Amino acid sequence: MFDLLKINIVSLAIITNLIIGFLAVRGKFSNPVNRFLGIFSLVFAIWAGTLYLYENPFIFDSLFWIKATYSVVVFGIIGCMFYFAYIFPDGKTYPPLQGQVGFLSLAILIEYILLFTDKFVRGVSLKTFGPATDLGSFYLGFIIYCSIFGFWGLIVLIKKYKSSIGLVKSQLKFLFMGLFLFVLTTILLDSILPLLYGDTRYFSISSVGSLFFVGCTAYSIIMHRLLDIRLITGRIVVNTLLISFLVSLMEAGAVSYWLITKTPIRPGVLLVVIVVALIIVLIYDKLNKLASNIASRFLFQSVYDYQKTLLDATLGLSKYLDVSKLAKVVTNSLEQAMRSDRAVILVRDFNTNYYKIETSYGFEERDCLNLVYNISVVSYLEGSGEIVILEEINHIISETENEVEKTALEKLRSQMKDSQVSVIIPILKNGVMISVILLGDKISKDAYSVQDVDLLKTIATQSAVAFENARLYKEVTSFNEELKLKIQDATSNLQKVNLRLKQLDKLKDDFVSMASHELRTPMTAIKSYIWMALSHSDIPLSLKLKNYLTKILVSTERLIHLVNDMLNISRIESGKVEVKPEIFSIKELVKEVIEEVNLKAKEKNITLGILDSSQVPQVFADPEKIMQVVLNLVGNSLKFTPNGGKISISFFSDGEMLDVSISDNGVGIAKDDLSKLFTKFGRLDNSYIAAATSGGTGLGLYICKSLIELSKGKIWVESDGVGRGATFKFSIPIASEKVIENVDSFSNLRYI
Amino acid sequence: MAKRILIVEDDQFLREFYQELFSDEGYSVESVGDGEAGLAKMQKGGYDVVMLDIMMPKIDGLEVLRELKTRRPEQENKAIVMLTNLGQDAIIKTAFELGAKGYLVKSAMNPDQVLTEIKSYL
Repeated sequence: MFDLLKINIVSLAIITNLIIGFLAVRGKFSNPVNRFLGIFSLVFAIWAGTLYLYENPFIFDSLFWIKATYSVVVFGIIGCMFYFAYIFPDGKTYPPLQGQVGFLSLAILIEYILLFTDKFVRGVSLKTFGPATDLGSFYLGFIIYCSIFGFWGLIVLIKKYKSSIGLVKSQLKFLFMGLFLFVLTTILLDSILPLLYGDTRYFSISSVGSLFFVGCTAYSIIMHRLLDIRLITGRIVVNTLLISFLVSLMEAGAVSYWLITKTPIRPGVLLVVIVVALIIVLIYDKLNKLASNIASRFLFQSVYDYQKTLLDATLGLSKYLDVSKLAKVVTNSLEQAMRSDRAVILVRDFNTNYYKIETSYGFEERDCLNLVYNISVVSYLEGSGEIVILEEINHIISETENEVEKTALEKLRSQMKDSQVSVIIPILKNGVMISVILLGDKISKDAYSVQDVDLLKTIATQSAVAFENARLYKEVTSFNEELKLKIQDATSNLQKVNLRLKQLDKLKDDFVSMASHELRTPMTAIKSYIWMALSHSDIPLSLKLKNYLTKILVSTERLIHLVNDMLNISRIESGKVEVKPEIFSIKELVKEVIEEVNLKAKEKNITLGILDSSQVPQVFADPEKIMQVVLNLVGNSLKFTPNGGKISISFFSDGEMLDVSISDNGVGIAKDDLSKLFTKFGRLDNSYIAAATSGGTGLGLYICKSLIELSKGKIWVESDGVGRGATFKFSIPIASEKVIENVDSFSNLRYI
Repeated sequence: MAKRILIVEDDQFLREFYQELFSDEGYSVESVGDGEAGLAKMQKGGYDVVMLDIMMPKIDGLEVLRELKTRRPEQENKAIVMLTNLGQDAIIKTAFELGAKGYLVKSAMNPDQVLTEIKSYL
């Protein structure tokens, strides 16, 4: 009995260790931690094996096996402990070189003593309970050696534990626990009990200690993903338990048989039993599947892989946005799984409220449509939202107490019978039926099982979402198409309009330039001849005639002026005016203007001059245009200043812009009229007779404003009121260093 | 020898006006009404001042100048003054490049101003 227990424990230890080792190695062989754990497990397995063989010698004698056991301990177990303590958990650190050298040399020494002297193991003697080892004086040295390296490794691990956090810390906790239990049991069985009893009877089962270590490691694997072998471990643990259970069962059976028949127990047979159990457990799963496949094929059972069907259906439904493709996916899944003899999918068109048959086989069109256009059926389906199976309706009807419901269900049943429909799967969205799947009977004539209904429900729900998505997608794309068309329309309209506007603009420009040219020719002729008539002294003219002719001359001049102004404005407004900025002296320009109008000023005895003579910075603008402006403003001042008046021009700079002021003490401007001045035709009605002879058109100031603004400046007027004179001011940019540097780029400023 | 002046101007009244204006001053004045005739006269050349209108039918003033550049006149024309109603810089610039000496804006000048201007070229 005791032996059997021992065998069980040992075999369990061996197998579990090997399995863990196998997993560790198979998982990630490259990772040194895994590798070492693999070696560790293997070592443990060998250790358990040698210990057992020591008690039940096979091929060699007990002495050989006990020496083998100690060898395993000296090199394998202590070595692994030593190295593992360093390598775990990052797989990069190794024990220091001196440590490794020390360990190897000591291990070799002890091994030598073990194998070639009898100071370690003196011999093995056979006792009642089995073999017993006589230990030599060097056994103490062995204990010391184990303690040194054992504690060394332990200290290293403790240090790591102290300095680690989180996952690594928990993993180390388990490792420690396992180690502790292992060491405890080993010491108990290998040191304390021998001392108490005086013999080594419990040696062979000291391998049970390894179980603790392996168990804790396995646990921490499962719990904390130690060494990356979590997933497979679950299944392996189950298998291991199965194996152990099976083994124990079979052994119990064998032993009972032997006890009953009183035949001797043969360990070899038990070994075979263990192996057989292992094989059975490992291949049971596959055998099961194979058997059921054969059976189903033979018996036409509709066995399908529920999960695979569902997965395929889900993937297919999420792949397409086209209703007919989706319907195909659903039909395929149903065909695969249910094997119905008839199936149809109807999808509702919300625009027309008709149902469209997307896919079908086996059904008569009329039958499907009859069912679907039956209002009571539809309202029942929308109300319940459940899958309806014909075979079950009878059952449901007998259970219902509500008369109304009963009638509805009876109607439903008769309709289903008429249309030869066995299953109705409504697909609802927000309580409204958007689609429906109708199935006939299964080919095998089996009933629809609970699993079938579950699958149908799941597929129906997913189809609802997929169909709704398809519908929305269709809406969105058709909306987009419409929008595109509308935009195209609008754009082409705009393009037409734009083209027309451009044409009109060109027409206007052509008209204006032609008109102004054509108009000026006869006007010049008129003006010239009248002038001649008036100035040639040899032409006799009465005073009255002279008067008339003078008036005609003045009007002609005004007419010419008006045409010029209109042409100017037209050109400015259509952006045809070229502004060519330069750096020039505004003071010099003003002096030029003063010279030009000096004659007129003298005629009216008006003083005209620049106020101060200090340095005026150069400006950056188109001198021609500025000249026009200054001429106009000075001319205005001359017109509106009475004889003996004064016009003064001054400059003011703020660093960026230069202000030019033209002040007169003439008729002034009323506050209300200030804003009217720079508009088109903004002449003031209360102007003098001088204005009438001035040839002013009312366009002058407007043109000035446009020109100044084209030069990036401002123009404005100040006046204290009627009779108090007026000051016209404008500002233009000063030629700063920035401007002077970039003269080239600025000179490209054209139409704005 | 009286100074010779050629007037090339398509408007009849203006042409007659200039004719009268300069004749009264004592110059020898010839006048034609289109570019072709003007070009022919200028080819013969020998004028002290040619008043050349820009806007004309058939060949315009600039065209005339271009033609003269390729076929040099038999006798030199001392000064060519462009007549225009507009003061468009681009055209004026081109005219100068093609050999014009000056320009005057017909509608902007009084007859006495015209006289003074033309006299300055003689």
